[in-house]
Amino acid sequence: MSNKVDKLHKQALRDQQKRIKPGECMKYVRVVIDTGFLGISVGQELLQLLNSSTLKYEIRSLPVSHCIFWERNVGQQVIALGTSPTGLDEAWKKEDQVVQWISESTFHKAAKDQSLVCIGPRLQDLFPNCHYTIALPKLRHNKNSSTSQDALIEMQLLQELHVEQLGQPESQELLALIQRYTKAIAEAPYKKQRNETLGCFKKYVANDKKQCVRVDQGNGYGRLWQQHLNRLPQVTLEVAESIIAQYPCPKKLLDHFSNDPAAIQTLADLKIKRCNGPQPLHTERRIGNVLSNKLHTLYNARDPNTLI
Amino acid sequence: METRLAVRLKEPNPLFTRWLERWLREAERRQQKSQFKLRQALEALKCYPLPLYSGRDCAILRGFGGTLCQMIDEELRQHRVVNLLPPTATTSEQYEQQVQQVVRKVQEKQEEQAQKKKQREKKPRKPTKKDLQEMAAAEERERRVEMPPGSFEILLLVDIQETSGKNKRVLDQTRSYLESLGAQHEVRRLTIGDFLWIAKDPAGNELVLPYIVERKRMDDLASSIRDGRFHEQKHRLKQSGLKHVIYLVEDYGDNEQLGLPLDSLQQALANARVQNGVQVVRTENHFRSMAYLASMSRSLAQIFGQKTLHSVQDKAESCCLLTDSKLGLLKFRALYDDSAKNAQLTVREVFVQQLLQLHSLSLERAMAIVERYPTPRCLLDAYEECVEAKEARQLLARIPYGPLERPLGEKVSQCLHEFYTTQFR
Repeated sequence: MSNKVDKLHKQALRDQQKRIKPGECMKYVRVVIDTGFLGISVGQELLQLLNSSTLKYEIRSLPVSHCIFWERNVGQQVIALGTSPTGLDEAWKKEDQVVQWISESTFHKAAKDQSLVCIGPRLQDLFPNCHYTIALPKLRHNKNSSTSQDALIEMQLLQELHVEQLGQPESQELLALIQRYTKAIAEAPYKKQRNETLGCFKKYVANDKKQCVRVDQGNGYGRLWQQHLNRLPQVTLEVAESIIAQYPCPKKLLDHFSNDPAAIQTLADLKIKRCNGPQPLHTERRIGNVLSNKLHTLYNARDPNTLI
Repeated sequence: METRLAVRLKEPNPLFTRWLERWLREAERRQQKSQFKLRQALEALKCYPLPLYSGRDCAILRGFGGTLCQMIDEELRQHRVVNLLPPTATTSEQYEQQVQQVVRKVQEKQEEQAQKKKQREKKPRKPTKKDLQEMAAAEERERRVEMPPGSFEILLLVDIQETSGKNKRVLDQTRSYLESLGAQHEVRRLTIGDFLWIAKDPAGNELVLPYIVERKRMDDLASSIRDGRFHEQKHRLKQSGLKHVIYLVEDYGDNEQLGLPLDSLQQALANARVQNGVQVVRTENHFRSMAYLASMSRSLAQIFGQKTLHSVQDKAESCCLLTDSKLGLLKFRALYDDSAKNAQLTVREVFVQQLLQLHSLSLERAMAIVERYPTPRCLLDAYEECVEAKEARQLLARIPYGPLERPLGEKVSQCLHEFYTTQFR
């Protein structure tokens, strides 16, 4: 019995993993757009562009005009309210990003009659617990622009609204904004999962595949060793090469640490071979005590929180 | 703890000393010239700390000429015949034994003293200068600071390294723009971020407003994304304890020659916004960036000027709603120390980064290994504890990783084992 539960559980996990995978995840997210857009030229252009894009979208009458939000298909099903071949509908869960578009004239009018301050609270009221973005066309720089800029900043600070200024042509820029947000929202669960494993790290553990070493039948260990050494910030290319010249594999260095009672000192005194040949005014020609100690700590500490 | 012992024989050469004394008395009685040399030799012998085993050995000492040494050897030969002295080898053995005895006695005495000390009440040590400094720092950290409205000013802090070309000219330009915009500011070394705001009171207390700005020109942004610094920086900014992280992103000409497609950069910014909660502000040039900061300074001064501010110690306590009239903020010093400390790496972090260098090791796999063996030494110890090489090679194979809990596999396990334990070169 528990075996079956196990299997279902594993299958659910696999399904979930598939849904959040970058690329695939775009299929499971759709944009919801207010019907108000149909009535304005920017909106009509936007819808035309949307149709020729790969984005999934729906038009609905929303409580705030000209706003946009997102929904995700989480793989659950609900009893169909309308007609449906299976009697079931896909469940779409609302995401927590909301974008509201306002026109330039609306903005200037609201700035004049002090109603800008209402924008944030209204959004919070109708879409609670979300992050809000105001999208508006780029403000032209004229004699009133500093007050406009100040008004925007106040909106950002006091109302915690994000502001996106759209260039020309506006409909294309708005589409680009929607596309970017859709992708970011779609990939968010995947990134969150990754960040959970990283949460304990203070420093972000960069994972660039370009520099990785492929080890094939024992070839590549040399380069891997060099890259291991390079993980310490103080180890430059020359320093790494000098260490490798003396200790061409980890085992040699580890043996050195365990056999030689003055291991740290010996390592500290190891000379750095400079590529450019002997030069006057050389300060650091040794590995040095600091780095030697760090290497010793790295390979001998049992407490993972020891600072290097 | 090691102690150095200087062991000296009280009388290293009793026999030779007595003979010399005898000869010296003879020479003095007979008023012979040899008494002077004898006296010299005797002095030297008394000063010498090691046992000498023959007349010839004595030659190293002052006053011991060839004749005297021969006399000693002759005397020694007769002495041996008479007294059946054991050969010199054993004498040196005896010497060693005696030294060992002394060492043992000293060790016993040390133990006695240590025990006595434990029993006795320990006298409180006078605090060292370092102790005093640490206590002062701890007290400063814990002291609660309160700033009622009107008792402080809001000041913009500019990082001394705030440049996009790492040269002083850009910093000067920043400062002159800010001055021309009437924005009061101070240049300081910041361990995190390019711009910060503090509330400063006449007593010198400084509390940090929950806003941190990182200025990035588009070309900087591109290069930092390519070399991975972007994510690291974002991570550090988010962990600073300051709630509102703002990326001030400045155009670079017409944003054409950036090193990455403009689209990618804009996506990265959207991701920062949506996934990391970072505020992104776009500006056209350096001046407009400074204008934005000046404007923010004005607004912040207005908003915070009417609040009562107090210090908090924990990052978690420092969230503040602007609708509150009382706000808890971090001290500047605390932020500085904390983020400076965060720049250091731990053994675990370096180990993970090292593991990631192997192509077949993804982040999840590396994390699974580190969960089980948090440092290289832990892994190496585990290898050593394996009875058979086969066991060691398979040590990591069964460890589950990722949300689906798949096993790491033999290949990875063998690869790492070979890497760490064989002399491949």
